[in-house]
Amino acid sequence: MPELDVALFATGDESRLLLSLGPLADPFVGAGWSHAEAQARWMTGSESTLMLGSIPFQGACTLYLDLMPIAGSLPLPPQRLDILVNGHSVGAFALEHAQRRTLVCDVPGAAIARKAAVSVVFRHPDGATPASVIPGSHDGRHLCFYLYDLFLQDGTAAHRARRHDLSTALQSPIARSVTAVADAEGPPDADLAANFESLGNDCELGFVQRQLGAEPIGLLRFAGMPLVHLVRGLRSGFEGLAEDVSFRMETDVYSELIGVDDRYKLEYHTSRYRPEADPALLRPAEMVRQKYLAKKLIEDLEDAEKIFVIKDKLGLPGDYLLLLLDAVRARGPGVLLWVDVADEAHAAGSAEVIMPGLMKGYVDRFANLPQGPHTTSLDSWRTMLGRAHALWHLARP
Amino acid sequence: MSRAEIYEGLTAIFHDAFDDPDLVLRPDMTAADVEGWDSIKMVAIIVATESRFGIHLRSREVDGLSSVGDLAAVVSAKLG
Repeated sequence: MPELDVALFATGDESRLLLSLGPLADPFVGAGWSHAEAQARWMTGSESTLMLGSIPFQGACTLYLDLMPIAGSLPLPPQRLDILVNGHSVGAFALEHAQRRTLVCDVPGAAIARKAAVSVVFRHPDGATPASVIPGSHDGRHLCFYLYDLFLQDGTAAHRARRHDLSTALQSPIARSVTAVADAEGPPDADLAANFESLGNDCELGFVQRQLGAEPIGLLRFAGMPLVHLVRGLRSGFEGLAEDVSFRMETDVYSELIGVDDRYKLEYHTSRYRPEADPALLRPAEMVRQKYLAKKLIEDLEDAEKIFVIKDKLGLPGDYLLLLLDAVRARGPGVLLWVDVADEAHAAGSAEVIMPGLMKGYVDRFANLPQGPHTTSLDSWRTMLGRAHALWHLARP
Repeated sequence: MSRAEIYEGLTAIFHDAFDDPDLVLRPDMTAADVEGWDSIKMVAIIVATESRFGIHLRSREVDGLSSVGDLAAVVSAKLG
């Protein structure tokens, strides 16, 4: 069995395993899959199998799946997905909306203990052919779920304890924003906005910063990178980012050139458009720029003079974010701000300190970015950022 | 390196970055004064500055730049 191409991203830490379903995953793919696309592949038919071979841990673990159900021009019925690890059922889902998300399954120790090899079976009785649900499509394949990454986290006692700690802390945070003080004494908008650095997901914070008068330079300001690859990049210092073999330029529907790095699954806006911009000419400069920005992000994490922001538009599981928090804190004493949509218990514009190094902030809604940056809820973001900054400032030595 | 030599080097970098051989740098010149000086162009300027002068600008130093004069001062300080 070949080695996983992107396994064990924490050096010396055999507690994590990552399989990206791009072309390099071919040796691990059994029946029920489409051909590999650049960063993922489709589950086809009614059952799909992955054969992971031996894995570096033997006890209970957590399985995370980054995937998206098939979408049609009209909503499809809930897409069912049953997941089995070595024959043990570990999860059953029915996904109603065709959006990318992370599923979490607890894998019992009995499923993998003393097993020479691990197989993961996905049963998906629904699905559709694109030809039947997308006007103009002639694709007759029966597609179900588009799987980007499979990630296994060893369920050591320490990891389980931290999951519990986070769950408890979310109910009773260390500190909540003191609104009167924060709102009255905060820095000017542009200075405030420059204190934050996006860790990807999408461009909303970047647009908020622009609307507040700040134009900071950042690798992930107008970019997306899946969380597990972001963690891998922070751990490695983005080693191998934007190399000739992994970096390409694509053109989106608005004729904008999009930079893509397949090694870290980075996609970002260049603000350069065809036909004025030539991708072949732009590519070398973009590779240099991305390497510089990656180095700058690592320095920012080391200096810890900014608040690092992850926007949770997909309902990321909290313990998944702990992986990111650990990666951020491994570089320096930085603080991660986890931005979510307000609910009954958390007012829009509020912020709180969940645990050392982790804050959570709430806005009234997220932007609908395909409709444009004007859809950001600017007042809500401004208030939340101000209060998060005040909490951060109070806690600094 | 003298102040004039630093400005001479920066001028060459800006001419190349903006493809404008007539651009004349002033210490108080900011992004608002030069069409096309956005965050993307800023990275190109920083990378070229590091390469030309053989220095490394730390992220916090880059974030503190707001004018050509700031950049020249950082370069001068780095060169000692």
